Order: sequence, then C-alpha cells, then structure tokens
Amino acid sequence: MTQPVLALSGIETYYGRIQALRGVTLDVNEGEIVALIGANGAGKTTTLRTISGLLKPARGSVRFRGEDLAPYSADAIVRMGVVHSPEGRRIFPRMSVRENLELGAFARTDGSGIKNDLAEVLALFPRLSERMTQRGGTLSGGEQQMLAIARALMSQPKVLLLDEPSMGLSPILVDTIFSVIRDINKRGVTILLIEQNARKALQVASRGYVLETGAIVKAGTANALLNDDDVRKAYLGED
Amino acid sequence: MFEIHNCAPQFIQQLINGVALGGLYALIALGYTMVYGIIELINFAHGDVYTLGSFISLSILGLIPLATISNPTVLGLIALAVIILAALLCGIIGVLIERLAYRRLRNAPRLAPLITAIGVSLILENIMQIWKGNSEVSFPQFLPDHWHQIGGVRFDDRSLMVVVVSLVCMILLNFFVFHTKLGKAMRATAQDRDAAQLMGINVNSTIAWTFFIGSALAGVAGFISGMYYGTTFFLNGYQAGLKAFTAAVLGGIGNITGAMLGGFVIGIIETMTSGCISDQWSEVAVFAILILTLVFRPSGLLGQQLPEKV
Repeated sequence: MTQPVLALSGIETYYGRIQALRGVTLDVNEGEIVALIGANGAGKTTTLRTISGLLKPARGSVRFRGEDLAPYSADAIVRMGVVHSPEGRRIFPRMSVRENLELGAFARTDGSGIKNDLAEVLALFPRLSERMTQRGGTLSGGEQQMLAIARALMSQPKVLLLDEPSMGLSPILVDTIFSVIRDINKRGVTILLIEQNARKALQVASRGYVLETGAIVKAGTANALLNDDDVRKAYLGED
Repeated sequence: MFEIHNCAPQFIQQLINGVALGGLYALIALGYTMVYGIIELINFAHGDVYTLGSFISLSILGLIPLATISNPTVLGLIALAVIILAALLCGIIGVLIERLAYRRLRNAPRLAPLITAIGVSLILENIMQIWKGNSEVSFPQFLPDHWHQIGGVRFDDRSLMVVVVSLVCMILLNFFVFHTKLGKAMRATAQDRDAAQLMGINVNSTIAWTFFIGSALAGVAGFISGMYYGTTFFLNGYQAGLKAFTAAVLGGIGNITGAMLGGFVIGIIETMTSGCISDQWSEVAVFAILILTLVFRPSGLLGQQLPEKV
C-alpha cells in the first residue's frame, strides 16, 4: 500500500499538566474523507490542533507525506498544505469578507492562481460574493462557516482539517455544508473531519475513528461504524 | 494661588501650539496602541524608547560639524538622515526589548509582562541617566528658524516641522497597515493570533515588526521633540509616555486612528489648560481625561465592540 498522506502515531498532548490525548494513532490516505467522531471533551479538537502545530505533542509523531512535522511551526505547516479550519470558525471579525479570503492565501505568491481560486470558492459559496465588503463579524453563523471553509480553501490545502463545520447551523445549511465537503473532496482535497453530527460525518466519510477520553477506541470503514452497535448507541442516538 | 489668564485673544495661537504638541503625543501613542493591539501589553518602556530617540539623535548630531555647514538644503537633508537613523535604531531596540523581555512571557499571566515592562523602563531610564547625566541636555538648534504670521497668529518652522513630520508618519503608517501584506498580517494577528497562524502568518515576526514600527515612530518623535524644545532629559519619556498612553486610551486602545485623534486632543487640551487656566492644571486636566475615559467609556472614542464569535 502507498504511504498515508497524514499519519499520527502514539500522540500524547498535554494542556499544562492535564493529558488530553493518550496515544492517538490514525492514518488518512490520499483522496479520502476520514471522520473523527467522539463526545465533547474526547480530544477531537486537540487532535486537530496537534496536527496543525498549534499544540506540540509531548510524545508521538505527526507525519505529512512521511515527513515528521515536529520541527515546523503552525504557519509553516499551513504552507506545506495541511490547512486547519478551526472550531468556532475564527474568522477575522473586523475585516471584510474579501480580506478574510485574501488572508487564506497569505502564504501564496501566485497572483493568478489566487485569483482563480477566489473565483472558484465564490462559485462554491455564491452567498459570499454578495457579502464581499461586509465585515466578517456581521455575517450570520452559516455565512461565517462558509467563509471559514472558503478561506481554508484559499490556502490551497492538500489535507483539509475541518473542525465541527456543521455546529450551530440550521438543518438546510448543514446539508449544504456537507454537500460542499463532498465537492471539495472530489476536487482532490483529502479531508479529516471532526463532527458532533456523527451520522452526517460517517455518511460522507469513507472511514472513521472513534475518540474517547483521549484515545482511539474504534476504527473502521464508515459503513461498519454506522452499523456498529456501540457507535449507534453512543453517537447516533439509537437504542 | 494662581492666576486665570484671559485666553480669548490667543485662542488660535494656543490651538496651534496644541496641534504641534498633539502630533508628538500621537506619534508616541501609536506605539502604545499597536503593541497593545497585537499582544495586549501596555509597554511601559515605550516612553523611554522615545527619550532614547532624542539621545540617539543627539549623539549622531554630535558627529556632524554642524557649525561649518550653512546651506539650508544640506541641513535639511541632515535632519532627514538623522530622523531615519534614529527611527531605525529605536526600531531595532524595540525589537530587542520584545525578543529579550516579552516574548517568553507571551503566554504568562498578564501581570508578569506588565511588571517586566516597568522593569525595562527603569533599566532604560538608568542607562540614559548614566549616559547623559542628571540634568537637561541641550539639543543643537541647527535648522534655520523663521516666524510666520497669518492673521494674528504666529508660528515658527519648528512647530510646522513637528506637525508635518508627524502627519507624514501617520499617513505612511496608515498606508502600511491597511494596504500592505505585513500590515494585513498585523491586523489579523491582533484580531486572532491562532487563526492568523492557521493562515500561514508567522506570528513571531509579525509581532517583532509591530515593535519595530512602533519604536521607530517613537524614535522620530524623540528627534522632533529635541528640535522643538531645544532640550532633552533622561526622564522626559516618563511624563510624555503617560500622556501618550492617555491619548491611546482616549482614542480607544488598539485603534490606530484613535491614537492619532487622541494625541491631538490631549495636546490641545494640555496647551489650552496651560494657556487659559494655568500651567499647574494642565496635567490635572490630562489625567482627569484618562480617569474619565476609563470610567465612562473604557473602549475610547473610536473603540468599538464587535462580536468575536457568533
């Protein structure tokens, strides 16, 4: 088999003295959507923050295309193509939608490529093109989420880390966001997706991992997890 | 006790003096506000970097045989060169202060870097005291000075220079912050440091540049204050720094346009109080504004609250 594009092995991450991750090992292969599901506080966001370099693991390694990311800072990791769209959207509230999108392309120098990508993400999210001069902080929650994803796409991700893209959105918007996630993946972007909405996540993903109190307790194809009794009980709200 | 002057005839005159003083405060206030905006630190050493600007200018001028030069164009170019050098050196000192004293404390509780800033301020003051002594030092008045009269109002080239230089710096800064890539990185880092990193922005170098620019502006202020007052003193930055800090708070700390506005307002209030009431009251007026702003409008004149997250 070819090597995974993203490989975590034995990751242990601490917040001060509190251990948040207890040996997380997972792989993401080129072109996949992988879902990471788990309850609040299981360590999903910590896992993504460790991959993107905002946190550094005490033990274990994160490898991107075989290369250990330990020596790289968060901004360098973005430039390598591992792009993290953070929980809570984290758009820049006092900057216009256009400036937010331009910041996504901050590390890039290919002017015409940036222009093309801007046209493409606006085609993906037509709502944003009507809001270009509006400040990020004045957008609705759904629009902010679109902006956060669009901004991440402007960084030309090879691997996109999405943290709770459906959080706080209306059911219709949730469907829109998930169909966009599928779209992005079809264009060749590998995706690691964190979701509270485990059913939706496993429906778009090819494989999934279940995280409990900082450790992976289950892994498998998305279908297998959707039909797994424990997963159904704990995360899909079924008896 | 003190006399109350009738200031009506010289109202416009005081206004002009106030604008000159305000330009100076605005230049210093920008450094406070930029640093606060990006790392939420009140950099108490900033006022002393401004004094360092005067001292450095003085030392550079000491190397030039000014008395042998009479061509006003050459003298003007010398002034420009000294401003630029003082700005560069102060900028580098600002970066060193951040690197050595503040960076390690970036994620420490707020009080730690604040106390460190006071420590850095004391160190700089003591270095300057050893360097130039305990008393006022005179600053060479090498530029030809002419008085101009428009209507009943008189002003000289020195006040004109203060106003022009500070306005030029502010225009350049505005352009820089709102129309360049590094400026955009600074604004992004100020709004959300983690998110800025996730955009591929190198936050450490962005913060270092913020210190560089803020300190360089203080360096410029140091030179023009030497030219304006004709003297300098190792503790000058203490008072001027507090007033510029007041200006930054009045304008809305973290807000660049606010710092400029606040600088001019504080400068005008200070000279108006001196001119219309009495010198002794000018500082009371300035610091009363600080207290009133903090009590009634802590976000300042131009500070505004937008939801960071929805």
